Amino acid sequence: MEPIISKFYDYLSQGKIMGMKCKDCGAVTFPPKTACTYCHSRNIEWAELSGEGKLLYASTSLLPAKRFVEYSPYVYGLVQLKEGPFFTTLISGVEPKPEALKALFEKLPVDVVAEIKKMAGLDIITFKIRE
Amino acid sequence: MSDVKASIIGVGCTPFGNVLETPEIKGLSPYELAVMAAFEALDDAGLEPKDIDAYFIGSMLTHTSGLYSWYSQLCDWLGMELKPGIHFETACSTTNTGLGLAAMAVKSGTFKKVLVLGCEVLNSVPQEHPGKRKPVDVMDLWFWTDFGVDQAYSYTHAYDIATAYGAIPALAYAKKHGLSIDKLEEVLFHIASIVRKHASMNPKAFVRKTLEEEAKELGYKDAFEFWKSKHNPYLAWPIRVRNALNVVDGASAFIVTSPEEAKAYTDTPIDVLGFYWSVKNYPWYGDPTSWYSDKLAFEKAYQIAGIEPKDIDYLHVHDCMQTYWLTLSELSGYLPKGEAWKAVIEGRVAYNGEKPMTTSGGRHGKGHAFGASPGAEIYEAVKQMRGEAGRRQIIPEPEIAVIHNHGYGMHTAVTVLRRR
Repeated sequence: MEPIISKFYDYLSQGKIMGMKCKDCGAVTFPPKTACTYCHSRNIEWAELSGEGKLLYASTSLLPAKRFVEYSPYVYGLVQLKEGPFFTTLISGVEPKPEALKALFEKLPVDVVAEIKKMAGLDIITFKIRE
Repeated sequence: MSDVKASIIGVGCTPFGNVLETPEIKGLSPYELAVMAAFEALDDAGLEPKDIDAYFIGSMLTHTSGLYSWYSQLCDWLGMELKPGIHFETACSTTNTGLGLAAMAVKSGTFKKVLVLGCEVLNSVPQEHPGKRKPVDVMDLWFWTDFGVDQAYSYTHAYDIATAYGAIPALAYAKKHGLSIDKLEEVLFHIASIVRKHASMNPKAFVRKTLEEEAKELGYKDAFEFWKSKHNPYLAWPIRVRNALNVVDGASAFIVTSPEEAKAYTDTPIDVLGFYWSVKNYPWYGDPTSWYSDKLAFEKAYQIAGIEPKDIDYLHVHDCMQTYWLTLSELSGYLPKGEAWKAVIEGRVAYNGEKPMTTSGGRHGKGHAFGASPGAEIYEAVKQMRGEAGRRQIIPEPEIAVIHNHGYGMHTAVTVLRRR
């Protein structure tokens, strides 16, 4: 067994967004696990993702994760990746204010692209709204 | 009665609140709080500790309670030393899950009478002894609570419960049904108004003031103006703080036996017709209004119970964010798709409406004592079905009740109850 979680973050430090592709059903599991999220097969392998997707919904809250307090308020949103999986993370390109979020809501879904940033001591994936 | 899995013959629930402040439970440690609910359930069933064959104790947050191994630490307080006891959890669906576990235990013939007990102390942490406590830091409380959500990837990516669990499904509901944000705000206000109305009539609820009373106290003639004011900020736009849970301390308990034995202890056994559980890792949704794990749990529970959505007289859905009064009342089949927001505005989901929901006051009004909350909702359903719910009594008494809970993150438990 390889350390999947550590490897995922190491890949991010190298600028690569990696998931798992199922050799049985072809679906992409993201972030990487030890079985296919869709058909539950264990017959999976590492695959690089495009980092492209669509932002479906976003908001901001008074209750940030403790590790991210220094970045609060931040916009947090649900993205569907081009390869299919859903992921939630920080969103840039919109102010964390109700008026801005309301204006964005009227336009959703919008195209987003991944930006790997070091936050709370770790390289993580964020998404930026495309102009 | 062969299709009946088990029957509830006694229920108990403490007032929900804060053991540092709430008069009825002030100064209680987790030990006394748990026993308070358990003894009420024993008294309700007319039983003594010696009559119980096994006990299942559910509790989630060890960081604040300051204890695990509840089975041994409580056995001699409950008067149940040497009996089979366990400590279990599925977070905020814990005691709903416990009802299923107890039903399986009695249906299999392993135990005749099982006590299911849930207890949670969340607002304080122990000091020199468990009864001497200091208030918890709210950031610590949520840090520990979020241990229940995907730590591998989601927590590291700024996981935000109020947006993830509250705002996103609310926005998705609005988009799906063509509601403007302004209309959604109005709908969310009406849910909160019903929640507070119910809580105001529940002597064991944490919040006892209606929204209208609170508005008046603060000088607002119109409760909706108060709703939109600085006194009620966004927790996660468009969800305001009064759409969300109040974290409380509390305990709940019930006693389960076989359907054949139940009549010996009560004139009105509440039968467990069916239950089902389904689990999904975060994120829980594709389309955030259509949780497949919830849909599956409802469908399987109904199938096992032999009921259809039209048979349901009373519904509780997990409402730690009140968004779920909309999405899950529809997904459960209790209300037609796209109609829940209208039913809310028209008051049809209030205790005196044709489709009553969550008459306890739910996770905002009654309060949210994580693992003990489902037991509080089972208590509420049993009281309603027996006709013992006082001012908030549904008339006529519900015959079929469905109790849904979400346990971080995410365990869906659905149980179908029937008044015999």
